[in-house]
Amino acid sequence: MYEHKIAFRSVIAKKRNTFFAVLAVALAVGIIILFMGMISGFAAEMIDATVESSPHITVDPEDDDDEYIHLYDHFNAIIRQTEGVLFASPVLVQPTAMEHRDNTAGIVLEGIDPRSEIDTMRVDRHLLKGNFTALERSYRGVVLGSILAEDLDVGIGEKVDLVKPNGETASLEVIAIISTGTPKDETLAYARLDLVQDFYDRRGQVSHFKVRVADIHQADKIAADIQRDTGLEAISWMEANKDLLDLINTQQVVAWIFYLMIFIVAGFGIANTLYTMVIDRKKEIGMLMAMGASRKSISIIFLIESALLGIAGVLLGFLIAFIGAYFFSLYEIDLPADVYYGVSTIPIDMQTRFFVYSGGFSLLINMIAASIPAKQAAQMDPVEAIEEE
Amino acid sequence: MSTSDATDGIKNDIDVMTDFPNNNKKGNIVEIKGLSKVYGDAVKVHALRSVDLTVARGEFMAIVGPSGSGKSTLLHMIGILDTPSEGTILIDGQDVGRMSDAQRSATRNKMLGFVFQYHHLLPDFSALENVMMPLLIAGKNKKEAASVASEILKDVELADRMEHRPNQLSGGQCQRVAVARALANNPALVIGDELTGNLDTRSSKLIYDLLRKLNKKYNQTFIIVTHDDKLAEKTDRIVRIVDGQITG
Ligand SMILES: Nc1ncnc2c1ncn2[C@@H]1O[C@H](COP(=O)(O)OP(=O)(O)O)[C@@H](O)[C@H]1O
Ligand SMILES: [Mg+2]
Repeated sequence: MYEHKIAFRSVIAKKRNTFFAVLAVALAVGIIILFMGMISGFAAEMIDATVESSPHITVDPEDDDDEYIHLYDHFNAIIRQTEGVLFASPVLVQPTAMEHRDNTAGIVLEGIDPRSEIDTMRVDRHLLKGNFTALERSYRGVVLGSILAEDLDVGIGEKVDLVKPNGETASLEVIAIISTGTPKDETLAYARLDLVQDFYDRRGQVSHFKVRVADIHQADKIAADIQRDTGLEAISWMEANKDLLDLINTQQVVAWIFYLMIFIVAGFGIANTLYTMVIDRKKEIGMLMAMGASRKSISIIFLIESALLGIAGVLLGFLIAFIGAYFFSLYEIDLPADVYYGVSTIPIDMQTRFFVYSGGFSLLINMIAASIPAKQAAQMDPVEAIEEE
Repeated sequence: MSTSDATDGIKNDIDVMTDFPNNNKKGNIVEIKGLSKVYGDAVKVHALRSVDLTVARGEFMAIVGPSGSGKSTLLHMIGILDTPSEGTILIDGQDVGRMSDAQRSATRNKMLGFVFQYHHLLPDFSALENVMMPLLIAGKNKKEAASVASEILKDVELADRMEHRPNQLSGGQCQRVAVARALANNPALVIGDELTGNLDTRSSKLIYDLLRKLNKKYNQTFIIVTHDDKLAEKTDRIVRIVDGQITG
């Protein structure tokens, strides 16, 4: 195989002429890996935030006429026994009014079983003040969202009143304040499920179940199982957030179109450099043909050269991606908290497959582009090439 | 036992240099009949007009003629680098016109050696590597190619320049490397087109004497185009071309 010998030697000898083509490929590969990492990072953050702030599966009443699930204990048991389910939390949602001294607020009261809600929704991680688990021991305890507490001007240990439309009231003691960082902080209040059921005359009833599963990617399947076993309507987080997931997917398709275009530009940079090399080395090519090199060998030489340039570019691109990712990880940014909850640096999700995709794709396009000058070299007329001075 | 060993040794040496037993065959190495070449579509240039020529094995032949008379065209035809418009060319009895592209390449590699006016050495390779190239193309391994190539470089008196690149050699030295390269595969037929056209008289004489010596030593056939009548007169036979026709 003398072909690779010639290819290696020429590429090394012509490194000055090929530098910019290689750099273009390197930049394309490096930037695209970073881009893939960023898009994937943001998508992962958004999915994470979504998955963590809403239930993996919500189980609603079967028909739209009845807002409530009756005999919830029965369903609760079935849901908990479904394969893949970790925890289930029965919730009775009650829009109502809350008063503290002269302050009144419209709230969304959630009657919960504290242990189940903590297990299912990890609500205790949002704890700002007080003690969430104390709700288990305190029938007349209430947990408030941080902004709601501010609006009512109420603190831990103070009393608030639930007010029914008929004027009936129930006095509760604030035992904890939570901050989720979402708009829910303005209206959210948690009380004991039994208290809410008693006060609003809904014994044995809940509005829905929140369900936590072991593997979030199985949520669709588990929801289907629950629906089949209970006859209730079970909605997975994927189904509930279909628009968001569709958006993320669309974004990925658009991104790939851009990647393709960038790779084509870089790939044709290499092809162009190769084309110049073919013209510059006309005499050499003619002489090699005179010496008996076949047309196939001539085109192999240039394809190998293109592959070498491409590989050099890809490897340099990997380096750029690593260095870029490192610098991004150092750089703090301000993102709107309600959109990118808890994200303070650009989240780059560097996956091996991004390197494989971007490197492989770049090489593929390089080879396709390089086949044009390689073919041209192979079809050269040896006489014309040799006669050249 | 010692006798047979000694003979084997010699035989091997000869094998390396005369890989082509063709060199020892009798008969004509080149037979050309009714060869014409027309260039161009609209304005036709008759570069060769019905040329007949036979070249015997081991001949050292000069082609002379005015500029534009068709010498190079004829040489390119014999070298299977170009195709005739009409007529047949037999190289070592094989009809070149019936060869596939791959066969043409293989025949050039195994049967033919070329030296042109410009040496066209590969600039990124040393003198030795340049001379090795036809052997590598022929599929020889590196070690064998290097040993053959260094022998030939000694023949052209460049033993001390083997590792030099073309840009570190003089014009005459480069042309001698090109000669060594043309001879590397021990071709039956060596073609030279004004190969000393760019050289001073001393270098050019050196190269001719060298070719002559090799011609005698290995019975290779040489066809040389030259402007230099003095050099032409030293050859076995002079063929004169005028206006695409052989005049004597
Ligand atoms: N590729 C070509 N296209 C057109 N005309 C050509 C070409 N090559 C050679 N010729 C013409 O053919 C004639 C013979 O050329 P050539 O064989 O190079 O002459 P010489 O080598 O004897 O100087 C000249 O008239 C030349 O102009
Ligand atoms: Mg000429």
